[in-house]
Amino acid sequence: MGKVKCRKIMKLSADMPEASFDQAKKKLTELQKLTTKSAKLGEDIGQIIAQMRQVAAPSNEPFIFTSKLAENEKLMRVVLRDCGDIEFRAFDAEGHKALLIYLEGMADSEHLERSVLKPLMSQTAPTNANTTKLSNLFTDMKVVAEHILGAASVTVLTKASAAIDAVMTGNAILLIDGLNDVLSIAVVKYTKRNISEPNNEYVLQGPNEAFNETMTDNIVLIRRRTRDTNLKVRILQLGERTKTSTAVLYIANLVKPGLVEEVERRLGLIKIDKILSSAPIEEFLVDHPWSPYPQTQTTERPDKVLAALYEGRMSIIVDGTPVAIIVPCTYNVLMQTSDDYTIQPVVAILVRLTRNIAAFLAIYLPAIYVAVVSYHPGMLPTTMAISVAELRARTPFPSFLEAIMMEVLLELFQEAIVRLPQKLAGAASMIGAFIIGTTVVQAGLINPLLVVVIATTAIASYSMPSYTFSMALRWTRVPMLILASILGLYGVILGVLAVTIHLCSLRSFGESYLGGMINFDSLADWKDSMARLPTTLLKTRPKEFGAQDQTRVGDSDGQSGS
Amino acid sequence: MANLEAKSYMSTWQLAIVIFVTCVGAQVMLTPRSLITKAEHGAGLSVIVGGVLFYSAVCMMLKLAKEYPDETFVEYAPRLFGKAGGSIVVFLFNLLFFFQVIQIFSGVGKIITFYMFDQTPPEVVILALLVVCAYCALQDWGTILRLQQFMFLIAYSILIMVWMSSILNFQPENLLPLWPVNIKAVISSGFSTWNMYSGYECVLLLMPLVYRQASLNSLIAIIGGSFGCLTIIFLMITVIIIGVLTVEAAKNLLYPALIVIRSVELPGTFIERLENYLLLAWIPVVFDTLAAMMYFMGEICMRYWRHADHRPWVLFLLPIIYISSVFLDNQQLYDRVSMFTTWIGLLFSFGVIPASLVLSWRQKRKAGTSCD
Repeated sequence: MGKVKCRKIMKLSADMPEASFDQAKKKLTELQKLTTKSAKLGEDIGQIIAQMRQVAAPSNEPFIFTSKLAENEKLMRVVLRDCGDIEFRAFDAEGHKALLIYLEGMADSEHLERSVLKPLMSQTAPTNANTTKLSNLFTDMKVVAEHILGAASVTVLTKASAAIDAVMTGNAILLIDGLNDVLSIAVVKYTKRNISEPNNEYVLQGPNEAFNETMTDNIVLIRRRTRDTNLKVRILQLGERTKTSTAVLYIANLVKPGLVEEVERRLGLIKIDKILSSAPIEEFLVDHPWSPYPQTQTTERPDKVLAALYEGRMSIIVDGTPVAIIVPCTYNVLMQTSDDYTIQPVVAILVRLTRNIAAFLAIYLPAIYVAVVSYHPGMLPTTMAISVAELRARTPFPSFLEAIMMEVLLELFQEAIVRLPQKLAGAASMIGAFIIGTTVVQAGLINPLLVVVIATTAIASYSMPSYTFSMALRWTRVPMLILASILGLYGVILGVLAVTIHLCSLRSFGESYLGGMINFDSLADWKDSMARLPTTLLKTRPKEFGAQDQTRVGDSDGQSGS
Repeated sequence: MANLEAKSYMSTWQLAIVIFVTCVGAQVMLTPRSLITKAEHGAGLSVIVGGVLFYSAVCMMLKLAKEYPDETFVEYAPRLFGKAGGSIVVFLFNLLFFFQVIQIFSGVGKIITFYMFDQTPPEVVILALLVVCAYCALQDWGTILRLQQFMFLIAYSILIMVWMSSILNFQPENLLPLWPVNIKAVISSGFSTWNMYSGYECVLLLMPLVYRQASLNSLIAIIGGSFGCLTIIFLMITVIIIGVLTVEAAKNLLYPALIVIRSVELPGTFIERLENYLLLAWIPVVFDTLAAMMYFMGEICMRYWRHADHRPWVLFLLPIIYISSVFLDNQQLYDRVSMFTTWIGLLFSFGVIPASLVLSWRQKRKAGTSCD
């Protein structure tokens, strides 16, 4: 029996060098260092928290500023952590440590350099008769703002939340060691769209400036058109997170009493995270959000806003939206365009009448067609009744189904044309016209008379000055078709009545949507609603909006009005 | 919200329009036959007599309402007649509207079925109209008032325009003999025109909205204008029916007004079957009356039981109105209900209202004496 040879026991490190004692020791040291570092970090965080707890900040404030710049900076860094685009620019101002905080890309750095950094860092600040030395000025932020800085708009802030808001808006804030308040310097400058022509409300004669996405620019466009000090602008911040700037505009001595308070109350009730456009605000403002009819007027024209303000109405401009909301809104104002005032009054009257007829046709024409063809062909002249019967004999579907098919086709083309790039939209409309106009009829699917009816309806709805109103008309068409298919002309008349009741029952800030159209108490309003009299005769404001001063020339306190 | 709509009042002109619109309803098509049957060639005179009679009733109502400027008849009737008496009078007041509403629904159902949808049961026609009227009656008075003004201008102008086309078939000799007429029949028929003029009772509910706007005299004058227009319209309809059809023919037709318009042929135009156009213009006119009356019924119930909202009452009354209207399909029953309603209407206008005025004066005199 041979001897069993035992294998020599070797160290683990012989096979795995990373398990060696030295290596383990090295790793342990690293770990110790990390632990120490994290403990330090923890201490720092603890200190910050302790400092934040020490200062008795109100519940709605993240912290309060102290006179130590280092502490203020630390607190600001905590609040603005992980915001890579925030610039913290520390510098020395005549022996005082100072810090400039701003959003890179939204603040004008050249402006900052010229009007803030240079005056503070150089010794060539403007001298004041009462001051002998620059360093004496660093006792109060207000003095700094008044004597050193060259910026046009500077505000002293004491609250941390206001300072943070200022930074997030694009302003720069200046902190100086030894002072416990900060300066907000208006240096907002960011990429924005220039003032251009309106996309949807172009007028043939007259001004063609339109709003852009910047609220301040939009307010300027309105301000530039009037020197009236009664034009008031109140800025609110809406959206719990976005804090979107929203301006409420009105003419103080014209607006209907109670309207400003009511608008602000409704705006104050908006509790949502984000306001990215004016549309959600409109939905919060209206009384009947389920109605298809627009209950606020929107425009991209500053002249239209100003005209509305001088009627005693109000406007709301939301930052980031190139349209302004106008309230109250009625059917009459939706049927008016700026062009009505640049053409001859008699022509304008005809145009407005046509528009009203178009609104009627846009809702009821297909329904009337279906009702007459299906239930009351006897109402047609005999020759026409025969030709309609012949045409209908070639198509397999009942008139209601034909009309619905045409409506669906029309909606499809409209939606496609809106969604497609502009260059393709032309081609799509050509295909649409070709298919609807020719192929569908040739295929024997649709009666050619119905094509005429639906095309007329579509053109009628395009002639509406308000796109949202035109959409509402499109929406109403379908229930009317159903009523016509069930009850013929009787159903159509009942539908007309139901729509009229609905429109009369709608209220926009107390004003009836349709009721003002024929109100025997305010028939004088016809001069600029159903009709459009010459400007020389438009001496009073519309009664329906309840302006405080009804006379258009001058006003109660002696200032010139519109 | 803040009350931005400072429109809790009506002008006298608006009241006049409401009375006009409420009075001109379905009866312009339904009543002429019975009137011509009774008064024959004197039917036109009966319309004028009726106008004068019911205008005097309205004047009494205005006077009474002025005595209680902030209240409606429902509130002050119990004070005048006592609790039980007041309840009966208020019930009678509501019953007036109820009977008119069911008669109109029934009549409209028959006419529409007869002339537009011979295959559709009247119940469907009534139900469709009832739904729309209920939708309107569920709104506030401001909405209904606006709607009435809207309809006043549009529907009535179309109705009158279409109706006037019947002048083409008018033959003046059919009106002869103009005299002598049976005076007794003319006067008694004058009372029976209540069906045409009915609806003016609404002033008892609406006066609190108007009284601060005008004096009694101006109210009487403006509402006189409204009654003048009503009389002219009813006179025009009656005279044209006789002028086109003759008295004898009109007596034998259920709805002579529609036969008149059906016989019209407009030379050189493409418009045919004018009765359909007339009916289309007439439906909004009927709707106006019905919606207002249904609102008034809800309002009376609301005020009587001191509720804050009339809408539950309108909804409560809907099935009752529908079932009652459907049950009136028999012409004899319809005529009986019509006669009964006329009597209630006359009793209310010429019995209850004068009695209320007397009681009100007596109470005021008593109060004055006790103060002395």
